[in-house]
Amino acid sequence: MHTTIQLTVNNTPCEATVDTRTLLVDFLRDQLDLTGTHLGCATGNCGACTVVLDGLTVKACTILAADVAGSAVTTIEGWTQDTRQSGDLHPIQDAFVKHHALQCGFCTPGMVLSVQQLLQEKPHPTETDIRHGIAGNLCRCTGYASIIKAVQEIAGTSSDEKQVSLSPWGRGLG
Amino acid sequence: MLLSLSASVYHSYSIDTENLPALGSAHTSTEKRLLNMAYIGSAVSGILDTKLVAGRGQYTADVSLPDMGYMAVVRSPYAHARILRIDTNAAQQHPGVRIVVTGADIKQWSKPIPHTLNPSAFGGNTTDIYCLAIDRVHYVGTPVAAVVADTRHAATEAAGLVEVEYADLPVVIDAERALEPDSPLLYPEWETNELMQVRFQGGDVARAFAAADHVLDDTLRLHRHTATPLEPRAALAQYDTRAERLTLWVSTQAPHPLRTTLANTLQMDENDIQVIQPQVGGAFGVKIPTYQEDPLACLLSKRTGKPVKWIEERAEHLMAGGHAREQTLKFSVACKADGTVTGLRVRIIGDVGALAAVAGWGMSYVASFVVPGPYKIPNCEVDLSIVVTNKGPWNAYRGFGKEAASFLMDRVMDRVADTVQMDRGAVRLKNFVPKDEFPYVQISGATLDSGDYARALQDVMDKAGYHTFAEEQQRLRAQGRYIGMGVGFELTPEGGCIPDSFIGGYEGATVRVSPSGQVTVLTGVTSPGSGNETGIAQIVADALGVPLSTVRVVQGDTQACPYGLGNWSSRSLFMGGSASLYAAREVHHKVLRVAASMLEATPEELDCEQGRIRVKGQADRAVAFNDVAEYIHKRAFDHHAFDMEPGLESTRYFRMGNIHHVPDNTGRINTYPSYPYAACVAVVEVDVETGVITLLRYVTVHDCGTVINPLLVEGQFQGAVAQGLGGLIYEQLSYDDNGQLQTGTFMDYTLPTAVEVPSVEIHHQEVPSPFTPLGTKGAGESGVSSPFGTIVSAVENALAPFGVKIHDTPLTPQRVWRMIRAAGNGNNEGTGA
Amino acid sequence: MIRAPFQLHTPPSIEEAVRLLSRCVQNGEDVKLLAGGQSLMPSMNLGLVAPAHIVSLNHIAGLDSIRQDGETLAIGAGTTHRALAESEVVRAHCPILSETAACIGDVQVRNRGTLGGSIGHFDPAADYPPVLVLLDTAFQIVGPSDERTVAANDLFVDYMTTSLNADEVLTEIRVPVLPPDTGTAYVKFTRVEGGFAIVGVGTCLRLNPDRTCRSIRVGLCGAASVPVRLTSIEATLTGKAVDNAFIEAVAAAAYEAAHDPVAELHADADYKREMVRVFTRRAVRAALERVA
Repeated sequence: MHTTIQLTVNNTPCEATVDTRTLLVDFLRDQLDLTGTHLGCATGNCGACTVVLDGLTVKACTILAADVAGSAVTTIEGWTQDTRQSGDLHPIQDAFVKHHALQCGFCTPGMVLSVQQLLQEKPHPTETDIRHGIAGNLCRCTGYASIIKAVQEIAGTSSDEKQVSLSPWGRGLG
Repeated sequence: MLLSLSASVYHSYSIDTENLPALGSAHTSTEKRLLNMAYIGSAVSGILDTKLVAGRGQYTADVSLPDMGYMAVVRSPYAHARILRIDTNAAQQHPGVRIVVTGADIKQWSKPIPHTLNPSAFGGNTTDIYCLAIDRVHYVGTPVAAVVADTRHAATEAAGLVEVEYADLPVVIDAERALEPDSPLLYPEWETNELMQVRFQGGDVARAFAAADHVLDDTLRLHRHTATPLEPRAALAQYDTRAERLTLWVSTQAPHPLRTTLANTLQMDENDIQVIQPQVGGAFGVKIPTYQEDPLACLLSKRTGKPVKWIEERAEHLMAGGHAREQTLKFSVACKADGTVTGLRVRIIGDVGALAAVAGWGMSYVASFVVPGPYKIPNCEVDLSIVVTNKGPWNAYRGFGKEAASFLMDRVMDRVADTVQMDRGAVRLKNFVPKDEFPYVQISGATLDSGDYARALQDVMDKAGYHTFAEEQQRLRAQGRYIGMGVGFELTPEGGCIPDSFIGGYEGATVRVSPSGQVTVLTGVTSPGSGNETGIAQIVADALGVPLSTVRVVQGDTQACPYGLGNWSSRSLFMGGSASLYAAREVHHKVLRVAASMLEATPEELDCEQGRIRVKGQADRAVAFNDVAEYIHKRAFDHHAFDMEPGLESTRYFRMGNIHHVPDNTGRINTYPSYPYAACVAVVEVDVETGVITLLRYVTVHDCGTVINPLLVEGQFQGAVAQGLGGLIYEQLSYDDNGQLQTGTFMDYTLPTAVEVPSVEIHHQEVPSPFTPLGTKGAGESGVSSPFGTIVSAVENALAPFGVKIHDTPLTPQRVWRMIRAAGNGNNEGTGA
Repeated sequence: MIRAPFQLHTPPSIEEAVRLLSRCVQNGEDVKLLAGGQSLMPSMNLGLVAPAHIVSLNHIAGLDSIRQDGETLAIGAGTTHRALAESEVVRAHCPILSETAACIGDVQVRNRGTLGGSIGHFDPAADYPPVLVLLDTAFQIVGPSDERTVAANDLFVDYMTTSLNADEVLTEIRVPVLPPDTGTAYVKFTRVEGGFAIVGVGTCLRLNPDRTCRSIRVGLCGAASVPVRLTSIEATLTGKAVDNAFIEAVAAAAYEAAHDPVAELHADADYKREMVRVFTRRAVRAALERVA
């Protein structure tokens, strides 16, 4: 079963016919060739498919393309288009490069978008804020340390005091 | 020589400029200085990072071809069964379907997939692995049929229409049960479930035990888990019917060996096959070929005459994409009252699941090979049984069995310390191989190359505040909080080299300089995202004295790159980087020779930095690297270049030293040339009401020889610790009694997030390898092994008031909570079952 | 990837949604409501659920409104976890609900997942139900012929089963404005950040001027296949001094109530039951700290 949808992707209006089964992530990748959004699990756990939908990060494997007609989607390529025009990376991307906050790069586009949302809401996040802000994005390469450093640099914050603390429910790093 | 990290010390390295070392000889790094070390040792950002951070990396799933079909694989829902009948009619007739195949077709069209490591070469049993099961399935997820259709949806729908009739066979999922005489057999022709036995022994073990002050026994169990790179496996096969030529884009770690096995399996000439490795989204071992789906996609492209794409689903990956780790480790240790370990008996049972063509079972072999690790225990014997069960086949996972040996030896040392009432660190210091005894040959033949283990452990204990920790611990205990500190030590043999296999100890590289002075490095090693391309570019830029930005590294294309064995065993930078250095030096000699002629000087008088060649100390007598390159290409018959072989390109191979395949007088060989290591301290807090462990600190002193790029090495180490921590506490591939996987999605197979993984404090101790031109050792796997022993030691330390002793993993909250309760009831057998 | 084809409906109004549902039900066709989709989509991707029709509620204007209506907060079923967590009025008047919303899944899940979607899906590990039962929540439900209000106890019927009919839509929940001196807490125990609750405990506590208990309510997730409210203690502990014995009494009641928890791979019945006790203690303590 197919349906025709209109939406805005990376500031460009587009119209497409999609199988109703098509996930937003597959629509972006297969029909629009926006392969910077990746698919890692299809259960909403890994976050590699993170995109910005109407201003908020979402996992595009948990969304039907046909269900977001009329919406605005931004993928990592939305930034890259700007990048290509200006020749510069976004400051978040610059910080990722400087701290080698990526290895294989598969989680990176989604991670970058989550960091953007975090910094929009909390320009000066604590280490705990950062860790919770990216908890929906799994990374199997970096062990997260370099990502946290990169975000701290942009935010002008430093690591929380090393403290032996136990949260009320006994888990996590403070 | 111990070197600190500061860039200046690297200038004390000197590299032989004139004479390339004889292949296979031990190198020394105390000769004349060649490299100007502008980049080596620096924290240079990854050269691919700007592309990847912009989402412009092209992974296999991102590659598309016109008119490509999509492959879906039909998999067994049973752990052990005979295939009675497969009806493909409904699937064949489904709209959009191009082909449906079963094992019967495969057997007719192709040969078995060559084993990456054939167990029969080790005196073990073996079986033929075809692209699809022929008549029997051995684990849930066994591929039994495949469909290609116009769309992914159509392929998946049609796969659901393939009717397979099975006859149940009895299931065995426990390795010790599988060894019993009345166990169901996976491969009846073996008359056993034992894939192979291995035995290493040395010294007089019986006498050591008879003379011991103490003898201790224990049984340890490591649980099954796996690497789970975020990019699932993927392949795109294109058979060109006119050219009769096959191209495979594939998420793999070893394109050249894969091409060779494809040629074998598909009965094609290697010349007609090109394997291309696009960007790989993490691998960690599980993308070492050869899986069934890769030749299968090729075969189906050949049969349909159109490209075939396959993208693994996460659930497929978890059931059939390569498992690891599950081993039982029994030990008996003899020691003196002063903590000296005098004898060790070890029995290892490796539960490798069903047999596949990939090399996973080799991890169990390596576990036995590495014992007793960094310790000098001359009276030692190791017995290994590698056992098949009705669970997913193993494939390589970072650590490759060394994590089991590390865990075992850390537990041995902690037990000895408890028994003789000595500090855990002190017991290790007492038993380490002393730094003046290298090379040191272990009972297996493992020839430890270099190191200063004691210094590393002392340093890490100092840096972590080991000696003052007890005060803080006591203070918090008074508040009802339980923190603990553990020590651990991992020895991580790297650069594995197995006789008569593609697991080899050499690498090749080409360095090519274009007329405009651009440098291309083509390597036989590949990068699954680990960054060796950056390290290699740094080495080549320094060897040529050119800006890093002019160096391009090309990897993972069998058509373009010299034959090489790919990425595994942390070999890429120390082997591939060494080959690249050799090739760059050869090219550099030609550049210097022509430049010297132009500048009326001798090559020895020249310096080359940032693409400018000048006579030392005379800034005005200089020529640009680019101009020399152009001259060599365009004026081969002019006088500066006339007496020289034309061209600016070199392909060189590097043969690693310290590999011994000719058995010594006791029959031992050495399959690992490089022995990096890490001494670690962990601090945990245990919530004794819930059993939750929080890792608060992880500190390491790590030796991977010369550090080419601390950003890369530290990134690898931190990531490895995260995987070790994940494996120890959060991740488990769990099967029920029927062989059904209970943790088949990321909802159940829980991976640690940024909230669970602390930032590791990493310190370098650089003891250069005597066997590589730059002193590099393997880096990449290190860090994944030590968390098992170190964190377990810390948890025991935290729970000392309860007397908990830990034998088994994973340390899930429920299991830890049970251990605390059991210990509280006077039973400290912390199995937490 | 979703395996089976289905028809997607994106009605602009509740009435239209209900009409579509009725039609599917009358035709005997399997239909699912999509309200965020953070559970439904993964289930469909895994092939565990394969409805013939999906009726999306993501396009109905006004379904995400939050308003104060006297002593009641009326919260639209289409409100996302994020909006609930951030809502000033909810944080001021029913902070336990915003605290609960804030600990569901991760940022992306909270951005997309909705209150109504979670309630309708009713996973036994879901965080809202135990809190909604202790809040005496009223659920506003629209069907083909009528609109009805259901109490929490009548909504959560059995394992993954609510009393919502297949042709009905949950449109709104109504929770009481909590007195400002109420101490509330929702604490949750998961394997990893963002994971499902092994147990979750919600508590509302009010004290008398003499620091004795004026009222206490506790709701449990993980104690059984349905959320459990510890009604037994509500009368017996009122008027009692809020001391350690009090906390232990609540915890003991929780332990008793959790006699048949849903066992999981990493949390069997015994462990879960004990964790119910531990986290009840922690929830009551946290609520007590917040009373002041």
